[in-house]
Amino acid sequence: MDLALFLQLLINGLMSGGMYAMVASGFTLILGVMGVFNMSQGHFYMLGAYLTFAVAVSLGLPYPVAVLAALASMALLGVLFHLAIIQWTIPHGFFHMMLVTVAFGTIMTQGSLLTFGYDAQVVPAMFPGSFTIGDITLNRGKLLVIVGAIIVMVALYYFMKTKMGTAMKAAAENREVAGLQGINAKRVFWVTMAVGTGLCGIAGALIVPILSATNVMGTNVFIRSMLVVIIGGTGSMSGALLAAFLVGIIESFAFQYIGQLNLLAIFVFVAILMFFRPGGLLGKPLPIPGQ
Amino acid sequence: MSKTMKIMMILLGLLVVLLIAVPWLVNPYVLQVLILTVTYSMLGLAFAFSLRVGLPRFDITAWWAVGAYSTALLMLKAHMSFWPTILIGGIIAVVLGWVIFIVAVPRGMIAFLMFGMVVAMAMQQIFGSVKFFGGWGGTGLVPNVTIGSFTFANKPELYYLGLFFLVVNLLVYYYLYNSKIGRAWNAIGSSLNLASAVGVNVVRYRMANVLIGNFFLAMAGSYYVAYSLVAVPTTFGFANSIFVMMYIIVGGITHVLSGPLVGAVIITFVPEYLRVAKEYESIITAVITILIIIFLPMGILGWIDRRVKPWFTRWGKEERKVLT
Amino acid sequence: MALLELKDISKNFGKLQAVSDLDFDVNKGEIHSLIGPNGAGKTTVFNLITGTYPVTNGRISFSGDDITGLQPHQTAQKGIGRSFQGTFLFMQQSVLNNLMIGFHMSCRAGALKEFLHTRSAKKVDEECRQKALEIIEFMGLGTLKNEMAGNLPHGHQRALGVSIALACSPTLLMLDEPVTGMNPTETVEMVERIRRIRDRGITIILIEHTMRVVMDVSDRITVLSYGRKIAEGLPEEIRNNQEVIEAYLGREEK
Repeated sequence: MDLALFLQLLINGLMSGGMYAMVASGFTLILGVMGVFNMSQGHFYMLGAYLTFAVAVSLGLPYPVAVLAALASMALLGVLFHLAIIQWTIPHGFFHMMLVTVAFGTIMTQGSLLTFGYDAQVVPAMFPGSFTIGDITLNRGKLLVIVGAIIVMVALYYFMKTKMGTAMKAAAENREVAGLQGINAKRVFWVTMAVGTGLCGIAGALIVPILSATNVMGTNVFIRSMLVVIIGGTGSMSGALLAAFLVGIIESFAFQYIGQLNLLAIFVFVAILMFFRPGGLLGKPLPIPGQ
Repeated sequence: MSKTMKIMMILLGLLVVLLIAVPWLVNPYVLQVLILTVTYSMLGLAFAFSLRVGLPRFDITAWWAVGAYSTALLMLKAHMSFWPTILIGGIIAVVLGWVIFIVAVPRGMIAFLMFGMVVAMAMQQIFGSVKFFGGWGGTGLVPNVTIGSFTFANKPELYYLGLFFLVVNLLVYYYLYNSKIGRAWNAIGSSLNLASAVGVNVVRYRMANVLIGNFFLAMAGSYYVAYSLVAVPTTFGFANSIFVMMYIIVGGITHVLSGPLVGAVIITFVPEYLRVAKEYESIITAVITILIIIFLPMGILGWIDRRVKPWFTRWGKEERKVLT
Repeated sequence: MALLELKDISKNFGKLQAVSDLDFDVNKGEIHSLIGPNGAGKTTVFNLITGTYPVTNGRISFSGDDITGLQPHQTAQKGIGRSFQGTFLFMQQSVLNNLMIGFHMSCRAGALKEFLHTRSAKKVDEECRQKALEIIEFMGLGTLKNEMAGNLPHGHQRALGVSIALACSPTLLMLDEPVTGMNPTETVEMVERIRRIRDRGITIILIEHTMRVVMDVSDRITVLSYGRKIAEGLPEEIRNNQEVIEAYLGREEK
């Protein structure tokens, strides 16, 4: 394989990997801190993309504004979702919480279909075109996505070190004990939702110039993010990061050779990995009591 | 026999009569919807079955597909009669399930759940991509199911066939729930730590549970092919697993036998009667589900338990066998 | 040789060192209490013994057999019964049914026979029912046998927890805070029952905070603080041990 192709595939893989990292991290946060298995995680990603389209194309505002709009609106939607719906289901247990995200996800998808239609919606790239180094051509837009993803993940890393971030981690370890340490559970929860869904919003906004907004993008990303969470270990955010890039890269290279079946390649990889390292690449399985 | 038992028996009898009379009471379209409802009910029963041991399963459509494809391909290519294919499909589902669950079940509920999702999607991909299964267009048309010289070709006949499978399903589950095994399962679902502490091998009992569920899921798949005469990958998408979960929650999570049935009927028919445009149907269903989850967390049947039953007996205070 | 021996046991959860270098023996037929301030690691030790948590380091042996690394249902089958600190009961089931589940291990006629509901399976079931009723009577829950566990008052729920542990016919019974939250009368009754359980030949390890009870009923006491053993011996020795007093008082000041 020549270098140009290799780099192309690598870049594609890192790009997808960045998306998966953000979506999977958001998912892991919501699951770990709140115990909610957010089945609508992918749909926040999709809406983030569509919203970016709406702001950048329909309203004609600059792309960065659109990105911020997507971030803010998805975070806000997540918080509203929590305050209006999720928090009332918490006392009923895991299954109820999960199902409510399923239902909400359906509303999101159908709502998006009705608003934006069935067609893919295109958003022009902010830095269109490519540049060349030697005889290798690199697409600017894709590099921007990768850079964007890295910035977001670094920001997330530092956020987790703040007072709120540590509170979230404490809550994830042990909800009861966290309560004893004076951590305001309510606030931690809605902030977690905001971060968890906001991450999806940004991810959608970043990718949309490259991939366009479609109706199925949410489900597609969600599947891969699940695999990332499984591989990375359910409790581990650094594991998720590593796993995300791994999945992205495997997917990208596999697509080159086996096309649509590349998803299967990842499945097989996951299955084998699970057999030998059940705790995931780096993480330990999340200590959900009694499960 | 106590008074309540007598009332229950009469109600049950009326229900049976009603069910049998259905083809004469409704138009063909409704009958078709009912046939699908029967199929989905079986999926729902299987979901409730594994939920009992604390394992919500996302892989429902995978094993449903295995049963469907087994029947379709065996009838088409090996020219088998319908009935042995049920058994073969079931066995395949169990063996394949055993291989997969060996890794997934011991890891606990969350891992099992995610694994199930992956399995469901992988299964659909495989059935769609591999030429042997007919690709995304599905298998060819399958001949009608026959028993002796009688052919199940028309809707009413298929409906009764469905009821037959449903009843078999219910009976076996009922029997299992009320057996020693069922008691261990109940213990696992109520309190995992306590069940372990009294010597219940949680993993082994859970494995048995999901594998039995697999068999009946495959059976539901076989029936589905009897009705649809073809197996197409798009039917077995992950989205269908989700509907099944809604049945359980709407019907009532504690009623492992009647919950899925009641839920299936409500979710399938209420949007029909609300007369909304097709596009809004799924939104309405979703909203109803959310409202029920928040306000009636124990489902319709749970609400009946709390509000209606106490008028009749002290039912709520006694523990009882798994009746419904 | 002691009935239960913990040698050099350590347990950490990531960065948190829950138990360090613990040597702990329990002799046959004694009532041995494990005490210490909150967070000292007492319940963790129970969980290590039963296998709910894997040990990070060390060995546990029971009646001479190495039980380190066994799963909870396996240690239960070996004869170690335990009650839980939180109330872990089968809430939706009657008291009697809770016990019947507890007999899961001992009352088996063989899976096939059970499946077919043969007469011998029914007989075994009936025997277990009798044994269950016996235990229920013994623990003073006789009149409540058909009540739903979730409806019982706290003290009775605790007693039920102990009953379920007894149903496994344990050689070693581990009780995690059996009298916490009970009123004085209930406490006295429970203590009396604990003694009678010991008189039946069952060795008992007790985690408890009510000092009066601990001093009264224990043959030996081990004191933990921050996951380490800081004292061990007879009640009188522990009562006057300076380190122990500081460990408790120090905590309270915080």
